[in-house]
Amino acid sequence: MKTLQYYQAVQSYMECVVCRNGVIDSGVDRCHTCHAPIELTKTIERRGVPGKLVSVLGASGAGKTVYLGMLLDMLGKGSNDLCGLPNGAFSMAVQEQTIAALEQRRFPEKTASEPDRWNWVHCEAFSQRRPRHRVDLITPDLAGEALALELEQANTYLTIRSLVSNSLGVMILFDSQRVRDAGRLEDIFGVKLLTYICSLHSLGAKERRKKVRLPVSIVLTKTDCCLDAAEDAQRFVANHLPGTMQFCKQRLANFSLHAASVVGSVMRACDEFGSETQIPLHVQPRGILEPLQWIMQQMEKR
Amino acid sequence: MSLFSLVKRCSKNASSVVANTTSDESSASRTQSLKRMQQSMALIPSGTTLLEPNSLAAEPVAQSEPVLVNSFYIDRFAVTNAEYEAFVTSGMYDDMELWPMEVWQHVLQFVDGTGRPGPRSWSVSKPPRDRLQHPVTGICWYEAMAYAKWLGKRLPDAAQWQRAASWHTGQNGQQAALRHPWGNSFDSAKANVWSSGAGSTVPVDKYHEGCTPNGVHQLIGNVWEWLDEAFVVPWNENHLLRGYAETRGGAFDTYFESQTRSQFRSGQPLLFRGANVGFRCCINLDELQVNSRLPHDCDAV
Repeated sequence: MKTLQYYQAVQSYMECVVCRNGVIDSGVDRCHTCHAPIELTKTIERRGVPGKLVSVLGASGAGKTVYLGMLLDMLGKGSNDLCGLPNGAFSMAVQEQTIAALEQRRFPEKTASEPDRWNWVHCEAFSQRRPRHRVDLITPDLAGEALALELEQANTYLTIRSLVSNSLGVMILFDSQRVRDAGRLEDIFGVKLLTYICSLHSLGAKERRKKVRLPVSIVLTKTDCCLDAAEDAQRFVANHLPGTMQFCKQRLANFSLHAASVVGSVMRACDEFGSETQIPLHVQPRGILEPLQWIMQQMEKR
Repeated sequence: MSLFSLVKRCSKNASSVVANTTSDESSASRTQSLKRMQQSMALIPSGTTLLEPNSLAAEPVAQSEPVLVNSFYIDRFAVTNAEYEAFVTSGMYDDMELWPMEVWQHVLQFVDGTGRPGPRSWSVSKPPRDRLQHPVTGICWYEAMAYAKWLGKRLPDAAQWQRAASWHTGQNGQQAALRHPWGNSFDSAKANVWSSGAGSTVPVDKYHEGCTPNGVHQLIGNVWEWLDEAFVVPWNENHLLRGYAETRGGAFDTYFESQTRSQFRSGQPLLFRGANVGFRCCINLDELQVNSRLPHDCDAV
């Protein structure tokens, strides 16, 4: 016999927009599988148009939080022919934290590694010229350590796996200074991440040799401190991330290289234990919107 | 040629305009020279200004101390590419007297995109022809200092720059300084900042609405301006962060409105040659008065 509870459950049943697992809107605020906010799925359900996911990935310290926060703030202001509308108050947390911190001349706190503590972003981005073509920038402000662990041991973080699998566009952030100064490790990380992405987007065995059509933007961040990257991202990547570049050429049908920075001047200070703190003196965003713009164009072509 | 560039060419060395005026010359001639200079420079009357202490927001903000500023003249416009070209073509990058000894090894690296002496954004020691009246950028603090020295001027210090940019309201008996030269409310139509949407520098005489009451243009926006002031931040009880020169005013790409206030202080490394930092020059009134009598209140305010 079907109880009232059963009917209520059927009525509030939804498919999580990130992991595609069933969730029931029963007062919990996150999907029990991937920890994405239920509000996010409800918004897309109400809208009636499937979500087009774009995600932002990068190693720990690559600048994901600052990049995302600034991107959302710029989209909200409606600039450079690209606009964005945040969906839900949960979506404003990253923006709020980033802007508040930068105005007080500090960088936001490091993101926690537990997925249930990640702030999620859902912003509908669209061009003012073509308002009907919309993209859902849906991504958690994930911890780079978690991504690194997922690359080492797949399925450790289902959130990341689901997100990458269901994304129609990906931005990969690299700290340009670290790429320049820290030897080959960043390049190796880049190749590992691309291998992971391609494994989730590869076609069947017959078409394995075909290139993956997922648009991937390689974004060099913090280029205010690395003018070589700011002036010629292509050359910089070829020189400092040769493996990543080679992989992109061989395996991706659509990729682009971008240089981005948020801060205009940074002061560095060391405490007595040698730990360095960076102080952002003023903010002058560059190249923040372009990667998303490019991904939107590629998605539209597809 | 605009009146602006004509006057600047005539008064290439500002101090000599007046200093060369001997007692034999008529007072009419002196007045003429003075008038010429006043077309390119504005007098800032003496008075006090409240400098915000350089501190990190997380630290407790110390009280602002009033600083007395003597009368001085400041350029009405930031130094343009056209003006700076005269400095480059005169071979001043080879004149070691203009450069402090500690920077000699770097002067050879003060080159443009083609490896010739000049600002970073130029090529073959020439500015882009369509940007002659834009502020010169791609120059470090030492290049700005050398140019000012060549003209017999200097860069303003923090108190001077702020005195020029922030006027007092005098309302309610309070001598509260305005946040911007035009008032307390930010207006992207009055300065070239990020929200204005220009996306790059504009000619130095644009945004006329945003100039100070005595006609100093673009103190806010377009380019940050190098100052003759070290930007020192107290990091902890025993440690100061140094090695930066102060910059003021924000630029075409400055994002936060709070960072375009007249009182906002920022900095850049001395050798930074960015596309959004320029400068303007000033000269103290008492330096001009050495050889001549000048009225104290010629065109102030």
